[in-house]
Amino acid sequence: MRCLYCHRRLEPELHLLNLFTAPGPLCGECEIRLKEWRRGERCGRCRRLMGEGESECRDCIFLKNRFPPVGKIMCMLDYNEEVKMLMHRYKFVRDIALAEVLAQFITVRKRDYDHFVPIPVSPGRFRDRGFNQIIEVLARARLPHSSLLETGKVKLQSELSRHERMNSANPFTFNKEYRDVRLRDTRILIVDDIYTTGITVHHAAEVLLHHEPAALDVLTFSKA
Amino acid sequence: MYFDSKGDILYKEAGVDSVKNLCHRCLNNDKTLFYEFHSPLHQKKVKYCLNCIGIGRSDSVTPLIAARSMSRREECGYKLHFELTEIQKAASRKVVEAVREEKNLLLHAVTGAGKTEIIFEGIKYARENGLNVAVVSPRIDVVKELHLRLSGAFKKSRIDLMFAGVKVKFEHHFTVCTVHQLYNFTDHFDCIIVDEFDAFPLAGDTHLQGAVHKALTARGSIIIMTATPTRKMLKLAGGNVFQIARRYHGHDLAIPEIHYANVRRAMEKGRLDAKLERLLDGIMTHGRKVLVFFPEIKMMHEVHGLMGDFDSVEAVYSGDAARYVKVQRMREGDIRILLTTTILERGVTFRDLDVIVVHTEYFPADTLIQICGRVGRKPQDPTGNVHFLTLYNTHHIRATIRKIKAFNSGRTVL
Ligand SMILES: [Zn+2]
Ligand SMILES: [Zn+2]
Ligand SMILES: [Zn+2]
Repeated sequence: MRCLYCHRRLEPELHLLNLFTAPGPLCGECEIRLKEWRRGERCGRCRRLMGEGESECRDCIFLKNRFPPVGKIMCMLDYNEEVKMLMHRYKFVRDIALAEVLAQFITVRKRDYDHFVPIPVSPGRFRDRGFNQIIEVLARARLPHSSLLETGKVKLQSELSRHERMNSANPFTFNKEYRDVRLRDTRILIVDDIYTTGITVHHAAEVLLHHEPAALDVLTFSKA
Repeated sequence: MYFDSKGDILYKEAGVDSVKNLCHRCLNNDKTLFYEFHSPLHQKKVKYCLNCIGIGRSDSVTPLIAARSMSRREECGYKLHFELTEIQKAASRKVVEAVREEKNLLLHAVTGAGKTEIIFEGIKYARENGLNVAVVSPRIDVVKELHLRLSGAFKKSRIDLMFAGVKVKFEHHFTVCTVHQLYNFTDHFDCIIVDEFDAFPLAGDTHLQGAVHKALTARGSIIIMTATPTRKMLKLAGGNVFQIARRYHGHDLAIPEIHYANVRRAMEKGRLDAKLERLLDGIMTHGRKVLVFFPEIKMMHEVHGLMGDFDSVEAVYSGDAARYVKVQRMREGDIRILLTTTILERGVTFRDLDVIVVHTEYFPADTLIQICGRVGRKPQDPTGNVHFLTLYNTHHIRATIRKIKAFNSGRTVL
């Protein structure tokens, strides 16, 4: 067994408490480093690091004015240097083993939601990367996914300026294959990798809210 | 040969042999260092190598493309902004000799101090003779620093730079990169210079040493620069070791003298601490100069204000615009007591210099060791005196004294 982040050999000590649990994919040191949150005042809703003298989160204010409201916004990890490196390796170097590492940090349970909806990747990106980075993590966390959304856009969110991002048209459409699936009064969880301004998940939510779910929450792996 | 997707050699159908558990790029064959998954794109199982994932994925579905190694002589010159010391010159000659005679060499040198400049002449020799050179380190920060220094000196050379996500590639005649990047090269570099060899990360270090050997041509030379040589390194160098452990005049460093004093308390009462005053008096009557180190700027300025009885006192701090002028005036003897919160640049030396550290209990051992190394740097004045004024003896003070004693007995470098 190797730590999938630093590749150090894992020699789990056997004792009564871990005798029946499979060893995780991470060594203790990497786990601590990935879990660390940068210090500072944070927004109570999206956990954004607030600027000095900022009393209300400007991203959340913008979203509230622009989009229909979503429920909870949950986030597994901070976007610290280690997480940044992990995301780079996972998405751009295609070190897909790191999906196991991310899956370990998911605490949402299967019974909490009826639909786990991954943010889709465009067909072009899928060909380059070879996988959808959300689906791979959900699968390794033993959570089913419903691909309710599609996207055809080529431009990456990270390639857009803040202004472009704030004003771009909704890139997501409803996946017709799910036309006959009941969504009304169900509990939906939208899952994305990195929460930056929140626009992406709110665009996704906008499409899904037309189907009148009972609850619509958001889970992201990391808060930038 | 080196792996490059733009090359014209199909080296292997796939980078990883998933049956044999072998990565053709880095030669990893440890089966715990592969990861297999079901690829939704290929609709089948794909295996890839974890050992060299840092330089891009080598897997069982992507062919390994290579380009032929070329060599080219170039007119190669560099600029050096200061003259090398005698010992640096000797080390530099040793590097040229190693390159010319295709030998390995271990440079056992003080961390930082002019180590990079020592290899300039060897690089010039190599490039002018059409040899491919790589300057590598396991550490990204060292790689960045090396590239900065080398591209600053070798202005006309096209230097490749490769680490993590960064790639500036020319023809790989003169390359600065992390050791990991060497996995992409086979039988390519005639000379590989490894800086901070001891900093290999814990995991996978045996593979990394293999990477150096794989990238080296059959007759090529490896030059290791390290502050802490191991038996393995000595063996690799085949006994060809050059040591810059002792300073060139070969005299011992002064062992710091400890004095218990509370400079701050005296200061708060508006007085200059009696012990500090007595030390300064003694230094002045002997016609010497002194650097007085303070743990903070505020304290330094306040104490400065209490030193009216002394002539030619000045204070410098790290952001001080006039620091170079003050250092020059100190050198000329215009200033004789220089208060400071910062260690002056390497290479700044004064004659007849003593050192006082105020509130030494605030200083970490590595800073103290550097401070002690400042004293007695001129051959005409081999040993100055070092005084530690402290509230109490600390672990760092003890470690400093231990280190200096070990240095004097020739057991270690600073
Ligand atoms: Zn680890
Ligand atoms: Zn917020
Ligand atoms: Zn490999």
